[in-house]
Amino acid sequence: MNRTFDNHFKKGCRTALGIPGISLAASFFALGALFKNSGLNAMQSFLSTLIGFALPGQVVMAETLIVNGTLLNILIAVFLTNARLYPMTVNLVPVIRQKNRPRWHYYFLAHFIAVTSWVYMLSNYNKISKENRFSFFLGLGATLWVLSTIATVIGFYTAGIISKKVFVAIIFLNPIYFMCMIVSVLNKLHIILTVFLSIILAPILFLVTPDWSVLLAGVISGIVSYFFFIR
Amino acid sequence: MSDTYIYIAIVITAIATYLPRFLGVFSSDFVNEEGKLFKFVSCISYGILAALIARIFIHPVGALEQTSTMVRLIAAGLTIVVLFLTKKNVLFSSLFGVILFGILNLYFN
Repeated sequence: MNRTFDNHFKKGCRTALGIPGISLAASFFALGALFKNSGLNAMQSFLSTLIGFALPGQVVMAETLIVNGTLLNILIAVFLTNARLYPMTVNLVPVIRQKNRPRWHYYFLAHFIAVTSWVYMLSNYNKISKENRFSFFLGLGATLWVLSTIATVIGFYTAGIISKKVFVAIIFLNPIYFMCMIVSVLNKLHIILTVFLSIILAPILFLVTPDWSVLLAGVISGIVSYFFFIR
Repeated sequence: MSDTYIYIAIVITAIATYLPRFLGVFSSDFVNEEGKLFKFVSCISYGILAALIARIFIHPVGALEQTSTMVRLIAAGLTIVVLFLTKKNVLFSSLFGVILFGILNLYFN
């Protein structure tokens, strides 16, 4: 049992050290530079990724600090930005659930649920036996978290050294990787319709309500395709 | 802006980030891998992710904002073509996309 856990945990770690880790580290590297330009120090940048591991929310925090937003502004803005983590977690936990595992393990693991680990796990869980998914995901998520924390600090200290053009290309890796991962798993009709609908809706809704466009586009397209194909 | 204020902001951000994860684990009790609810939540999750990606490509914030929308969209479109040509090789396609974007951004911005 323990050996099996170890093996799959290590497999998760090794997976994270490939393209998922490189792509995520690139984004957190950029975040470190953003933090430096926003007036945070190295310790604060490190702590932010360590305890608040979800890039879009961290960007919102930095931007709200720059414009002297209140702590309540930060709380609401970050919660709205990271609300996507709710359906993602509801979706992931049944996939990795094991019968005899204590509940607090899942609450602990939840800290590592982010887009990169989620997309990878949801795309590949069929290749991993049910009883080994928890340990695999723990290895994957925890390694991505450690890499991201290190990348944030490196980004902080190297801000301004790298040419701006190269820096922008590094940032582009993460969305391109997300896109490739999602397109590569488009094999179910309800997911295909959801993705297409959402891609069309998001830019239109952005013109009406920039803050809510992502959440609204996702929820509307998800509901439409569910009623079209599943019910 | 004092150091203490920033530390409090970081802790508040961490709480606002963990809360949806916490609520997600709590709610997942009512969802099983084979059920309709699972498929419903899948639709919503993929929908939000697709919207997030669309937003990054079309209305990005931060450093990407200063790049050309056309360059971002051409790079993304050609990356999808390469993804299918390489039988969905995510690693190769992602690297292709970034290098193409880097080159286009160098000349057309």
